[in-house]
Amino acid sequence: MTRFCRLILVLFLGCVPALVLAQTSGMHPIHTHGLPVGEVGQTRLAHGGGGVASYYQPVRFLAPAGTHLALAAEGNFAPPQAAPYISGLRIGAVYRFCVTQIPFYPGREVYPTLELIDRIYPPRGRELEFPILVELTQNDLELALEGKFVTKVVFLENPSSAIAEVQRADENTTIDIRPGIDPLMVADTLGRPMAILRLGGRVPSGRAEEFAAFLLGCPAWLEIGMQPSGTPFFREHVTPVERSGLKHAALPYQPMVLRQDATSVLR
Amino acid sequence: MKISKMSKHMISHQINTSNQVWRASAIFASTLLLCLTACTSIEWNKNILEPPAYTPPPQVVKPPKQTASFIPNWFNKKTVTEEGFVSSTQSAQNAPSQVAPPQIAPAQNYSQYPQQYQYHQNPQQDYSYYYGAPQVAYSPQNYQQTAPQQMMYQQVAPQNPNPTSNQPAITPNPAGCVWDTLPVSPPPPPPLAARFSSENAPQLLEESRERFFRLVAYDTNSAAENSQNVQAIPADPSLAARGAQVVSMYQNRQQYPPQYPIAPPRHANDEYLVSGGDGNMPSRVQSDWSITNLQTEETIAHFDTVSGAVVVVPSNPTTIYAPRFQNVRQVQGVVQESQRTWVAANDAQTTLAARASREQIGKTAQETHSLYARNQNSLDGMGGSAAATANRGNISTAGDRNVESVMSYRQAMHLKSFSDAEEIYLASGGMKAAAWEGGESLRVSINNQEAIACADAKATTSLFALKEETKGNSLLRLIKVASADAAQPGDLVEFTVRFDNVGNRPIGNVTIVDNLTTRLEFLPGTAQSSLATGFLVEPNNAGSFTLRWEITEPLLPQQYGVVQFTCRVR
Repeated sequence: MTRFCRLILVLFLGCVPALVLAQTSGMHPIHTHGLPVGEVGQTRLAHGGGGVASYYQPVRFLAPAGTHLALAAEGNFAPPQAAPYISGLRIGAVYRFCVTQIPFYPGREVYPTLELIDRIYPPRGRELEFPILVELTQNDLELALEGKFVTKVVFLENPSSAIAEVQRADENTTIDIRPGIDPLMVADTLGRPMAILRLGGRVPSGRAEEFAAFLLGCPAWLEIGMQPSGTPFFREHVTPVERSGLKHAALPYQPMVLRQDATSVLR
Repeated sequence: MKISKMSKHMISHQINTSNQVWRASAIFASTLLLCLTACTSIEWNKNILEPPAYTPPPQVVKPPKQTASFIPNWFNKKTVTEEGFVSSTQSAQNAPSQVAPPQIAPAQNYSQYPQQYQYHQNPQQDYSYYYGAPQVAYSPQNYQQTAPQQMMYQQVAPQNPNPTSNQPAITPNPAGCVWDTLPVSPPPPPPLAARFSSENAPQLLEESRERFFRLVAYDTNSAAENSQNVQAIPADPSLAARGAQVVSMYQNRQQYPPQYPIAPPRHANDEYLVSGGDGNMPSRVQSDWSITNLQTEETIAHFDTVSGAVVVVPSNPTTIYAPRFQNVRQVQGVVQESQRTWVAANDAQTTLAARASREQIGKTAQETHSLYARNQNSLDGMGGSAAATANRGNISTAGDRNVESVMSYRQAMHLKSFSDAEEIYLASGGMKAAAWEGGESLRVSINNQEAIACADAKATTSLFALKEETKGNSLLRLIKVASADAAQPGDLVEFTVRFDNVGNRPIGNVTIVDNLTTRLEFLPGTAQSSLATGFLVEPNNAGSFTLRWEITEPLLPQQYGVVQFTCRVR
């Protein structure tokens, strides 16, 4: 037998287990929920494309009635706003916010984080009508108060594999998975992951030198509200670094142009 | 020296031995492979080597068309002819009560109308509003005087003051869209050939250009229908300036149906609901009228031609921006983690083997194995799902601006504002100067011997003779629009499908099928039609419904109809 035949035989015999392993291996090598906080969003930001680097993605926070939310802004928490609350967030940043006045738990607070990892592309001028819905249910808050760690991956459902059930505009259908399964992988299977919400496990220590790290650097966000005159206003909360002039955003952010009827979604 | 020879011999012996081992192993492996191949081939060819006992094949009896599950029993396939349906073995009296069968009165005395479009007339239709008093002979002068509305029948469809038609009127929909009572179908305009004369030739040419008629000039004396040698129209600057072109009869046969720039952006097509089109796998109508390859989101129509062929026509895809979000939640407790750590510590204290086996059982990779396998086709964790539906849009587009153009395009479906200008807009948006009616009937022939009209009285060399097209075309144009280009879950969206017979021959058994996508929930009782129609609803495999309209009467040339229904966005 020539060496060529031996080589062919060895390659053939070696390819069999490789093919078998290839059939059973679908694990994504990079994106798992076990990555450090912010890694997935930064990877998406580094990947670029689709205008993710220069866009404030409107996010609508849904919470039980009476709950107040406060995003970290410029070294501290902004004044709390009653839910539902809409604001523009950057892709790739991790936002710490404070949830207060939780129903049936007076005086208790939860400090979730939200990592925005992608954006959507609504028709021009209708961005506020189609924000990404981030839902904090009463059960989520109670689990966080009990000391559990809740991870919610918000994903855009693929219409070709959608669930045939009626869904309201102000709620998201939640799929519970058991520990040990990567929620990011499940969300990627069912659609396009948009944001990662993490609740529980961490509260501010009260030490001033750790508070800045607790706020995760206070990334910039766009405050969207309604003036008493009825006209919307936009206020950009930049990071302390950007405020000091040491660093500016790489790209100018796209101005948000709203239609007249789009302001009805604002409170 | 001897030692060296001995060692060389030993080395060569070892080499030979290793060669023999390799050779033996190769022979063994080859034999094993041959045996496996032989066994497999024997297994595959078992039926050939050992043929089973002969059993007579079951006698396949095709179910009659009337008893197919998807076809209502009252509807019977009929043969369409130039005059309409002629062979109907089953009456329409068994039709569902929701659609009244048309009561066609016997033909009345309409012989005073010009002969060339008598067959267009509906005996129960009062055409005096459109044509004025019945006229004995047609002339451009009285046409201009008595029928000005008819010239712009597509721009403003007039309300019929005496609605004696059997067509049911569409009432305003519950969704609150801007829809008025649907007028009856206007009568088709008389053929341009009948209106052609030396006086109105420029006007007709202008009209034909606006209506995307393909003006074809060919030499009737030549056997080949080729206009390469005809220079009459280009030689006439007045006609050429009005858009008259010399093209071959079979030249520029455009793609059908027209494609509109309303497909969503490819990088965000998972944010849109698409309804309409025929996808990549063309739907086909079987002999029992069942439809194969009809996937969700698709809307098609099929009809029978005079020659007996069944033609399937897709609609344009309609997109609605309706993203829907869901959550994947995972709750991890500190108690569970401590228990897992505690058990592992105990195992570590007892025996390493037990610890190894316990860790093997508790591996995360084992638990999520099947889910990982389902995710093999994802790209980068974020964009894989978008790429999976990249083929839902039939055409590529530039961005959101094209999506917004759906709203202006939607005006075309409002019958009171349907205009030729919008046709131009639609066609220019999709493909420039697309000839929807590329096969329509207007033909210009040059025949000096049999000239019946002169386009330009001064230019005696330019003689035109119009004649009807001899080759029949059966074409159906299917346009589908939605009442909203963006919707939230729970919103009501009204879909309207307009079908036009843009050919020059009647078509029959017109059936419109809409296979709704998962996130569109059909609201019962909202289906309406401007023509006498049988309507059928069946659940599909996507958790939604398949809607089917069956037009009971043939669709005459240039006749159209509208069906509409309302869905709730899930």
